[in-house]
Amino acid sequence: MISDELVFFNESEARTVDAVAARIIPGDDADPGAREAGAVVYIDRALAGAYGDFEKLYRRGLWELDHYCRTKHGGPFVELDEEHQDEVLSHIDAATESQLPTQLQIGAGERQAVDLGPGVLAEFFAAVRQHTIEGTFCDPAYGGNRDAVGWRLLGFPGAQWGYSAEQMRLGFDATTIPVSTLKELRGERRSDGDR
Amino acid sequence: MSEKVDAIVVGLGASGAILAEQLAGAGLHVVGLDKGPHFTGHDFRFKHDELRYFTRQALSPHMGTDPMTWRSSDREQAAVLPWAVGAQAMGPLFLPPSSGSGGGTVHWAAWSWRFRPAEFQMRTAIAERFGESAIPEDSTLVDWPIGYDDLEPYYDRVEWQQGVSGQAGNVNGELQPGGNPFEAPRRRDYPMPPLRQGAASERFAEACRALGYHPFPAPAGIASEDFEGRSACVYCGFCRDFPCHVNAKTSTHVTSLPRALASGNFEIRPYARVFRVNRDPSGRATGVAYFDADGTERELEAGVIVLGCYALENARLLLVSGINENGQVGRHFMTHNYGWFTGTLPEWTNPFMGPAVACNVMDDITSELVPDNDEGVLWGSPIIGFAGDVQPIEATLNMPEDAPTWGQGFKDWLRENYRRTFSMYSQTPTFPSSHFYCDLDPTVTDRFGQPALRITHGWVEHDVKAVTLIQKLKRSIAEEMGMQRIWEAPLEPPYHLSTHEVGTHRMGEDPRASVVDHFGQCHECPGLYALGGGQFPTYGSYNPTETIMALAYRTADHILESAGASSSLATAKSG
Repeated sequence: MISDELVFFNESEARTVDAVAARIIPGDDADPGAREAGAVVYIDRALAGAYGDFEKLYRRGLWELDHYCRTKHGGPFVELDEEHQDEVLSHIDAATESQLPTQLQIGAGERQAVDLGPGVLAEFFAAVRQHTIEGTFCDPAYGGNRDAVGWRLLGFPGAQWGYSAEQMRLGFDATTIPVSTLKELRGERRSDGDR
Repeated sequence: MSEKVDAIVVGLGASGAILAEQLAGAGLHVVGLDKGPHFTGHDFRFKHDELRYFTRQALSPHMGTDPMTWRSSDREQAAVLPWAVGAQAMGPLFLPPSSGSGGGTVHWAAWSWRFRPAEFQMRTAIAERFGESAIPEDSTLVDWPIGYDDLEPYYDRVEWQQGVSGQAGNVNGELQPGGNPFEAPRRRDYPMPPLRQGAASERFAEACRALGYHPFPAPAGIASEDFEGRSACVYCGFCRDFPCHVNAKTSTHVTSLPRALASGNFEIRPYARVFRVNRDPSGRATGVAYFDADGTERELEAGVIVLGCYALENARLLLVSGINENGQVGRHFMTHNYGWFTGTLPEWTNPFMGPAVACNVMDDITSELVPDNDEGVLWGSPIIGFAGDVQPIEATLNMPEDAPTWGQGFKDWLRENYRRTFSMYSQTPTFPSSHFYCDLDPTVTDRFGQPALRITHGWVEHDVKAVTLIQKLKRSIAEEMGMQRIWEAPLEPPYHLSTHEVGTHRMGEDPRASVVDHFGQCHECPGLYALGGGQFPTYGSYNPTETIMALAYRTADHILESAGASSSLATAKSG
């Protein structure tokens, strides 16, 4: 499904990014997360355009991630179960917090050294995390947040022309406001006002 | 052969647009040059897009085209840093200045404050209360060459001609119910009542009152009712960092610029990047050199040249033009430390509804009213409620340190807490210091080969102490409000640039110790005015824009009076 729309990633890269995104904001059909929001489509388009500067980090990071997973867990990221995927990401995330070490000592017993590159994996994960958040909570015009599932998850009503005094009372339940996207707002408002 | 006009305005933001309106309205032939696009209200009718305007900062130039470098002290190597968006969120250069018509007044959050009388005499006020010895050794604290009374008529003009909503606290010495009892006297009320307040604003106000403070609705550069052809605010919540879609926000692309254009004496040249101020052998400014939209080098001459390009680019333009005989340009860099403080309430606060500024604030411990304290804090700040303007992507940047940053816990945290958050902030100013300044980067250049501006700024002991003191008070307010969970920004925050930078072309009487006089005219270069926050000799605890605008009106009056006296300036017919 994802591969029909790709403009930057190849299919294998897209599957990996989608799998990482699905661990950053997990979900399923009943309670959508980044995968259901199509965050990978957002990221794919962003890398082909506005975020072109991140191209190398993604290509290298994806290679490093699978290299790490194969060395430590015997297979690429997408083939690991969720528990092991989380273990890998936690390990990388811990590296972020300890100031991007260039090498991590991993593996029990023999203390096998696996070169993570100069912080590449940590930087890569930080980027995918940020871009997954964007792809889940951006306006759907950008390819992510499909059917505004990200906004519904938070109870955020999206692109609203404005709010009434009643809606701005403390305690007002904003999930009672129909969610609107920029496209819907344009459709409603294009003809009125000053045009 | 170069073209000649009466006045050139470089940068069409808070000060430039006002100069353009005032000078063109009086009959001068004025050309406005801005390196960004020419915006009108129409351009932003569908601006409800967090990614575009917050995350990707669509109104700001890119570091690739407008590089700037930063270091925390002169012992370090400065580096170009990305604007703090995306994966680099909350870095040293958190919020860059905007370009294009309206400048920073397009994205501003619109807290529209007057500075307090004591803020024009900061050195005297501190010395009298705490003794000269309390002033840090490296400090270059001074008093302003003008006082509150000099600016009061111009503050009034900003409020009535640009449009500010608020509750007066002190009209001609008479305290007004519901207003700020610590306010300096004003000649009259605001032209519009305060904005409808955000959901948690009254809860914040109640807590302040219970603690003996005196909250009032923050003055806002946003129309609370229809105002001079502009619509009243509709409380969409895409306001701070966003352009306004109904022209309710007081942005000069919908206030001064249309009026300047209507005079028939004003022309805007967008995408015009000024790279030098030209001078004659006597030192007098004669015009500017710029690259036009096609990259062609152009020259324009005028008797009056106004730089209104923000404190940073103003300083850079002076430096690259060789206007810095006394070495003062770029010195005295100052900014604010916001002391971000966020918590959750039991009720839905819906922090995405309405503008952030639609909230109560309290001035009891501000500026010279700072309580006696053991920490050695010399200057206070208002405590400001932050009611709206928080969309989902931004919300993920402000979570408690121990909240999960990814995974099911992250998702659950956002779902449970985002819609219950409420923030407060303060804005303690940094003191001007010999350690902190801007200059030309020795190695980094822009795409035209000109040096980038280098910022040298780090947080110091007093900054940390001031925030420490005020965070304690915020904690007591949070407790009184019934907040369930609170978290605070680091006392030395990661940002050093947040569109509150000032001081870089200090105004003063002494040409040896300042860059511009009290009308903003360069001591060293008659005919050249450098306007904006760069003029501030010291920094108040308030958002700079209304004071920038008031100074701009005052300079416009001065230029027109001087022109009237010499009657040689105008070539265009009035009307």
